[in-house]
Amino acid sequence: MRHLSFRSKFVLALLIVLSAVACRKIVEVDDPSGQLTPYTLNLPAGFPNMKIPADNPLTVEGIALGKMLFFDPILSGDNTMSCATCHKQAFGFTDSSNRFSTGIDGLKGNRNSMPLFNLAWSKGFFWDAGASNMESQVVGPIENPLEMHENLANALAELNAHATYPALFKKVFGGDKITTSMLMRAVAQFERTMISGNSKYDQYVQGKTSLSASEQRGLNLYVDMNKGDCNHCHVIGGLFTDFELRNTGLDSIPVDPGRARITLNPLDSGKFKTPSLRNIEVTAPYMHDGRFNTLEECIEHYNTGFRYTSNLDPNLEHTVKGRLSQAEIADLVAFLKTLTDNEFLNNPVFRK
Amino acid sequence: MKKIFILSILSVTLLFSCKKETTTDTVKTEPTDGQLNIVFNNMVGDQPLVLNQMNYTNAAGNTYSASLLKYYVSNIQLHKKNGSNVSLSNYELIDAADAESCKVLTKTLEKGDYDSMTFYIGIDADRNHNGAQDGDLDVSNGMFWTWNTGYIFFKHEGTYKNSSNQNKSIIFHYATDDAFAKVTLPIQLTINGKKTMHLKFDLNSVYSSPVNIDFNVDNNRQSSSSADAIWMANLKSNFGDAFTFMRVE
Repeated sequence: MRHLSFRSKFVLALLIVLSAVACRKIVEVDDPSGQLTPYTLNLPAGFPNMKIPADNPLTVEGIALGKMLFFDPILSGDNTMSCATCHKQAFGFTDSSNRFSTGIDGLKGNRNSMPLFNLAWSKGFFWDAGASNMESQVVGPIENPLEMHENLANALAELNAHATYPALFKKVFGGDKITTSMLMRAVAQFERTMISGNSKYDQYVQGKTSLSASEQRGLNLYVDMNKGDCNHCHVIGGLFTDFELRNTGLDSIPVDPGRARITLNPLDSGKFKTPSLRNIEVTAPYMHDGRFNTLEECIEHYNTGFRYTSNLDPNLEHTVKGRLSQAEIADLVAFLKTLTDNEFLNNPVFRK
Repeated sequence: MKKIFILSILSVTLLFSCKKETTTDTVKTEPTDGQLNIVFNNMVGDQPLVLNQMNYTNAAGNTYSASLLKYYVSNIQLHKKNGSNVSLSNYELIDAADAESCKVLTKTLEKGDYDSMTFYIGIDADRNHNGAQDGDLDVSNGMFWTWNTGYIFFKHEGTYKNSSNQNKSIIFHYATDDAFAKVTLPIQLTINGKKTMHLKFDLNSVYSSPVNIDFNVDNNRQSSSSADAIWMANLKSNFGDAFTFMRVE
């Protein structure tokens, strides 16, 4: 190395970096049609950078294809349900007031439909974070017998026989046939663009609006460790969650094993992903099983209702039961409602 | 000039490093080297496995069949007597119902005497939880858990006769990072031209050596409950004996 010129060192370093980066690719990604438009993300202030897999860069065409698939019932067993059936924009892409959603066979699922926004930062997908990346998540609901109940090979055959999809896929991903990985990547591209970060609270932080007296008291309670203590897990600003999995004392003996279903570790029993509190006003009912209908009920759970399970989240274990008055709960609810992002909930970009 | 130089390095590097990692069937043979194909012969004892035949008996005395047998073989490496190693192929899905899938066509192989090989049953933890993948790792191959991102390493489904002589189903799905199982085989392989090496995979051995598995006890194991842990550990140790070197042609 000592005898190499600076330029050689630079090129060598470049080579090493490039090989390291390039070797991680499993699927060749290029611009097969020469007609792809790179998509530039405009992240809201305070949001961390988005990590995008090297084999699935965002393109305008890829996102449009993913959106088309998201709204297309072709991905379900009897072509009656799309992703959007249980993920409706007006409800933060949850299934309105349904505690459990009904699949194509008339069977109900066993967990509440999750909101879809700011997903790119999530450490795992589904309530138990069983899917480790967004691309892999895409095929879960398609194959789940309680949801869209479609055989992937069958879905691909239908897509390949479709009048318009083959050309669209070819333009985005190349190749002569639509493959599962293309389907996964397209939908994931669209989902990565579903970003919500323009609530009243965000505007307040930017000095564009002010909070009411009740909302301001709610904000103070939110961050007060001896009061709301919401901030430990639903970290204020940015994403309003740390995406960690926690047992929040919902049941002495969990009915649903939660994370333990994935890890088979009893210490993970009843642990579920901490959801973002953005748009929480419109995503009722709440918790992984939709057991609470109102925000007041949720806060009351953290105020007095939680049970001292053996793996209760330490943050919760250290709080004092009954620390919030009814007036304080009302103030907290008022603050939580400032996290509603009407621009996102009505944005035609996310409409069929 | 410097820019052009760097750019050309860049494109050459990308060209090489972006090659698909799936095995390719079209391989150029260098005249000075040899070429090796590996065939995984799925058998039960000394008999070739025939799907949907209720005529196999394991060491525990259970009569059984296989309606489906698939498994992943990954990171195949050959070892020379002098200690050098050659990596052949990354991820191969072997499907007893598809003879072509049981053949692993390798790259050009350096001449010489190889006396052992290693490979794994399953997919390494890094790739096991990756995103969209193609070829043998396509998630529509029926070997992928969508609810818990990861591949099923070994899948045997079929029927056995229980202690009351009734036909009952066998469902064995062997998976999770802990199940990733290394296999080391002594082989006698001299490469000096085109060769085909036959390996035997003995399904009976999966359930007998060193640990006997009785289908009356274990018949529905899907690696998705802590109750499956002992069965998984037993299979993991048994995979080591399930493969043997047969012959080279």
